[in-house]
Amino acid sequence: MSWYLGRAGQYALVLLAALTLNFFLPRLMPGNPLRFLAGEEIGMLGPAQIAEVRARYGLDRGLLEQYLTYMKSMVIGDWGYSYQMGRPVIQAILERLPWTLLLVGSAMLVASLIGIVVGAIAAWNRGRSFDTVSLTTTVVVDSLPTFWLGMLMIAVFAVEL
Amino acid sequence: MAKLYRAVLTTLLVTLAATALAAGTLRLAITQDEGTLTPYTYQTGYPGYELMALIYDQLFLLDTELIPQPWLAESLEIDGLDYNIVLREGLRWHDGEPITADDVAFSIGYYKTHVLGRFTTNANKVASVQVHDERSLTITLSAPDAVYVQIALADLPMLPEHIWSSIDEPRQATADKTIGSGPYKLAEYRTDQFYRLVANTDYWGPAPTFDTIIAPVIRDETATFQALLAGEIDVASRVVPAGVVSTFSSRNDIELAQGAGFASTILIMDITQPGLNDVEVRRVIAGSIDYDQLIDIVLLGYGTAGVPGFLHPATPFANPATGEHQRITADEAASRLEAAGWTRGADGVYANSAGDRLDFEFLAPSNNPTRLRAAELIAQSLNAAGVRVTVRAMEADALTELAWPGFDVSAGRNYQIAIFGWSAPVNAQANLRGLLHGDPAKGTLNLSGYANEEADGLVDAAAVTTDEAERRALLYAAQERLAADLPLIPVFYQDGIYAYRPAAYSGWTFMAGQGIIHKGSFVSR
Repeated sequence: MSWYLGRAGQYALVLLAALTLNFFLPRLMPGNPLRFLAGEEIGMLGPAQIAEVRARYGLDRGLLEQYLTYMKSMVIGDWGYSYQMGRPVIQAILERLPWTLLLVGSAMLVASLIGIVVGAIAAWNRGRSFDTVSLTTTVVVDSLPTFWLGMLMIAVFAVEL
Repeated sequence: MAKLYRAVLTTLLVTLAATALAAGTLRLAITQDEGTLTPYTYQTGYPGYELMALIYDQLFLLDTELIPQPWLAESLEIDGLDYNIVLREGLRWHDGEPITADDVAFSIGYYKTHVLGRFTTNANKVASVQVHDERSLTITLSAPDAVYVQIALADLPMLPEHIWSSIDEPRQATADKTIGSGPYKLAEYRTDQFYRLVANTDYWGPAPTFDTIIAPVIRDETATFQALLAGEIDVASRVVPAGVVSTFSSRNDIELAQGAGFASTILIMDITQPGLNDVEVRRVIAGSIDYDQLIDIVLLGYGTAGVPGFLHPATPFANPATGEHQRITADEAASRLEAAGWTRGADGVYANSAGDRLDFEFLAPSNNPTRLRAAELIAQSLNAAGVRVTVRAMEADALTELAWPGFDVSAGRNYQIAIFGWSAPVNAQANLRGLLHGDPAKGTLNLSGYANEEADGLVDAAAVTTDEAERRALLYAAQERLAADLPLIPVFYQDGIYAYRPAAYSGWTFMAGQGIIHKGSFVSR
């Protein structure tokens, strides 16, 4: 039981770190969200109207207060609205979630099937050439950066073939 | 990766090619998603605003010479601050509800209370609106405004009160709220993929030219023009890059529409900084830039040199007397700097007795090849003239944040020299007050820290003078002030060049300073 609790705690910490980064990274990067909130011709607005927009979206509050509001909203499931994508964040996630799950699920299934079969054959032929070759191939493929291998495979399977 | 992108795109375009066979369909490539195409959710001034304006009508419509023509309004009578408007008879929203004077009053009130860059400032100039009956109303301004019809009545899209009165977060308006009164209706919208607009068959005005407009989002420039060459689209909203103009002009299945572009590329300076606060230094900078070389090399000839008075020579209020920048040689630059108290040090950099040095950081946007290249050429000219500048390339958003922190001039500036630009409306509306005024509430585009009482007086007076000749004289004088003080140095205006397939449609008209995508190109005349 305590093992599960420990694992859950670890996941919670990772989630907290990810959310915190997600909050602070855009604020550390150059750029200003006002153009998304008040449109392209923001230069027509005077200081008073800009202040009004900032107040409306809570951008005039302290960073800590904004962070706490953000965390609270995340917990109660209010994930906000993406002005860049023009729809609620939850909707943008739900649109992609089925495909992500399908991709991850089918990849896991294929990987498990191949892994079990190859592993069993290799164990049956321990020390023979099949064992050595399969082990070496696995180590090499596993060491390749995923993003690079992924691009190669897209180029081969999706474009060339 | 580009190959993969093209593979995905081809699938979309092949589908579009099939639909184009149906008569009366136009395929128009746009560069990015434009939200749900309501007045609060479109993204770009061009073509976003223009696509939105196919769905939403204004009271007046600007013709290709930027002259307002009655549109939803049948007549207008201006009596001092009062604008007495009568709407046309039998106007209806796309859902069949009648358009009334109440809708007009509601729209102005809505733009006041729901801040949006383009519309709120002009709506705020209205002191009160009085509705007389279903079709007539009086809009009363708080101060005279010579160009209110052009900049506001021909710009503000009218909103249906029965739909928008329940919308509190207009930037989140969904596509089912995209109901206007324009010649086209929004029939289908797939985020980041395409829009399908269909003709409004009950339209009160000139008949829509097309039964259907399909507007796919094609972000990649190369992919856009390949699709045009392959006949998968009929027209692109994107400007044709100068380098491929000759490829297009040699083909007989593609035609080009070319005209002056009012979007500006300018050199901005923080003139409160030592060195840059000396007007003689700014004149040496302006005189040392080789404008013709920039147009030849950077724009391949497709552009107009910047003029010291800022306003594009093709705009109605450009002062011909301010002429062109006076070019000077390196020797003349040296003697003028020396006469102004600057002496050349051992390191070749000019300095004055106070220890100020003419050695500046010059910001340029790394993701804008035209401006980056222009900055490098300008730097060469300035260094030869003895004003040392070091080009620092950075992402455009980062540059904007340094030159214009928080889009709020009152927050100051954190740069020395930068290459920058303003969109077409600044020129089209002769917004010299925004550029020059020392009060941040009025000089919302004054990124130089320029403060001159005479200039303030001129642009303030021009804003409230309704007599055309008097207003012209004030704007001319303001341009002369600008040309003399050079708080900013206009560099060039890039021409708008657009490509289309005449076999699909050849009725495009060029709206001055902007391009071919505007309501007039999409209705029969």
